[in-house]
Amino acid sequence: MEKLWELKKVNKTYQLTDPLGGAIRLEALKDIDLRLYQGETLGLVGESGSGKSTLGKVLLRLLPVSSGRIFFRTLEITHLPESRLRGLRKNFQIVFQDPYRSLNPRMKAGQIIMEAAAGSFSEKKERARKLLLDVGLSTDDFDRLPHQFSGGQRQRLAIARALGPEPEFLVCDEPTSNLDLSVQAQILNLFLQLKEQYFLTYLFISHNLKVVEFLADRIAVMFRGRIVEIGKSSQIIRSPAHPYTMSLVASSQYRVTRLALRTIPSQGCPYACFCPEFENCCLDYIPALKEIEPGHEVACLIRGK
Amino acid sequence: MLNVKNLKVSFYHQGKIPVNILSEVEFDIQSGESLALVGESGCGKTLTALSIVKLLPRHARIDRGEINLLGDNLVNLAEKDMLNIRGKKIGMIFQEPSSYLNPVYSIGNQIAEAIRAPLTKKEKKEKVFQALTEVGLKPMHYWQFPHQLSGGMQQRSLIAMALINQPALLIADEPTTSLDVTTAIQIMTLIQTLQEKHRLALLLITHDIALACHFGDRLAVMYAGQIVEIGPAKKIFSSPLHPYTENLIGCLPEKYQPKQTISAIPGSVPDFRRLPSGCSYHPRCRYRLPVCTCSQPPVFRRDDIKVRCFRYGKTLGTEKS
Repeated sequence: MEKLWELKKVNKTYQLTDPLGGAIRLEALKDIDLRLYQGETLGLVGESGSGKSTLGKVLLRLLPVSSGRIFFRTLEITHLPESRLRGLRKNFQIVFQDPYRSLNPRMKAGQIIMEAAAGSFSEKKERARKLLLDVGLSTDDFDRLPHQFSGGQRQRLAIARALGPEPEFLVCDEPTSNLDLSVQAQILNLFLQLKEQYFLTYLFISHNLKVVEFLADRIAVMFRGRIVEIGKSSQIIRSPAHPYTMSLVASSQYRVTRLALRTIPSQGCPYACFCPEFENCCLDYIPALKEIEPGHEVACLIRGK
Repeated sequence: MLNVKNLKVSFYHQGKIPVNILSEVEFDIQSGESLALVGESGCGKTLTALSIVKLLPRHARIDRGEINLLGDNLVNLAEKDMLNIRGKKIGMIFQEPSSYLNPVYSIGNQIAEAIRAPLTKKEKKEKVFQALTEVGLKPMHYWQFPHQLSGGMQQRSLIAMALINQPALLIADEPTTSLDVTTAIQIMTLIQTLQEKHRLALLLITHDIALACHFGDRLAVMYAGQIVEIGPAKKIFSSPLHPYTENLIGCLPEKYQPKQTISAIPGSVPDFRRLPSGCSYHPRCRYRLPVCTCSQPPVFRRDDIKVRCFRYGKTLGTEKS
């Protein structure tokens, strides 16, 4: 399979100002090494604040990296000037979580899509009409405003807009978390259909393991800014190796995992303070991803032996 | 314990036609039992909960029906008497824990404030420590402030607050929606343990039908302001009767092999101002009969499940209740 994206040792640190004075450094991504292949769906799961969305945004250069390198195909885009990025951006688009805040309330549905599309006015209009139909809306919706749509319809519109410039890659940042179960099912079907139709590659970010399991070919699990496990969907779900992944899988099947809560020095494995399989060697250094079976990597000193 | 009968709630906006939201809502919860109320957003789940504690929005009114709690009909109770019901007999927890905690008071302070029994300061403090331990927090959290706690710990402290007066009924309105999966399961397990320990009646409101069936003894499915199916949770989950319940369970992605098409429900939730004639689910129903479009289905009983659907009218042992 052809490599579409490659991240090498990507770090992202947010510099925040403490309201009480001074600066806070928030390390959102730490040493991310990741490859995405053409045509696959990579699911990204993790608790809130683990850096999932940051990773999606850093990938598209919507946020600058602090260190590390990003490659799109063979082109390094880490420090590409904005003028050159503009031309590239039509290849990669994003669908956000909240369709209420990611659509301009003053623009009509058709205009929203046309703004993203390329070509002459009539070409753009034609494309907008086609996309409205492709995402399950009707051409009558062309002149309606975002507030006239329901949540599910807005998300369809947001997807249509993302598809406007004919991208080959979509970051889907929790696109179904705000939707009801029945609407979620419709949108998941839509993602499957569009992938076939437009040969898309997805980075699908979600906290819902069941949704990710359904859509993704491979799953990456994040914890506190690091990828702690990555593998094929079936490997992650059926034989999770990292203790954190195990607790995620258990929770999605409504089983409780006993978490150890120990106070330990903040060094070594980031999961050490919760880990039921903790041993003293976990404090020695931060484990790197290590292959335990073909395509299945885990960052754990105990499990990655 | 709690018995809701024929409840009807409408919105009366000035100068507009009244909009009927809840109609013929009937259910009961025994002590030590949990009832999960499931439905999509805007179907009237939260309004049902608010009717029970009589904290309805300004324009909403209970038109008819009874809400019997431990022998009192809450519908007829004056606001003054409701003060003795809320907190004392009914505890409530909500979705966004941080918005129900006062940021400038310590956790212990806020829990102690909720105590209704006439106790001395020292006794109150003792009681709060007990409550904190019970929900899995440590005594040191007494002096901490909401921003120092994680979402899960905030929810735990709200559970402690809701249960401090030993209420008979606990209403949990989407208690885990804003929490991470792992935390959510811990909180649900905690609620379940406490419910069994104190023999509480639990009304669990959620949009997650899988979670509801896992943690509820009984399940009530709501659609457009009506309970369309009510009965034992596990039984309904494995063999739902009402087409809506069946479709809703069919929307769960985990019921499918990866990348199979999910059999989604066509159409969308109806507007309360323009409810379809007859059964409000008929435009989306694949088993639609001619009768469904013109008249409202009554409640039919099949063993221990009550269902509002004409499909169960003729063939099965029918009884209109």
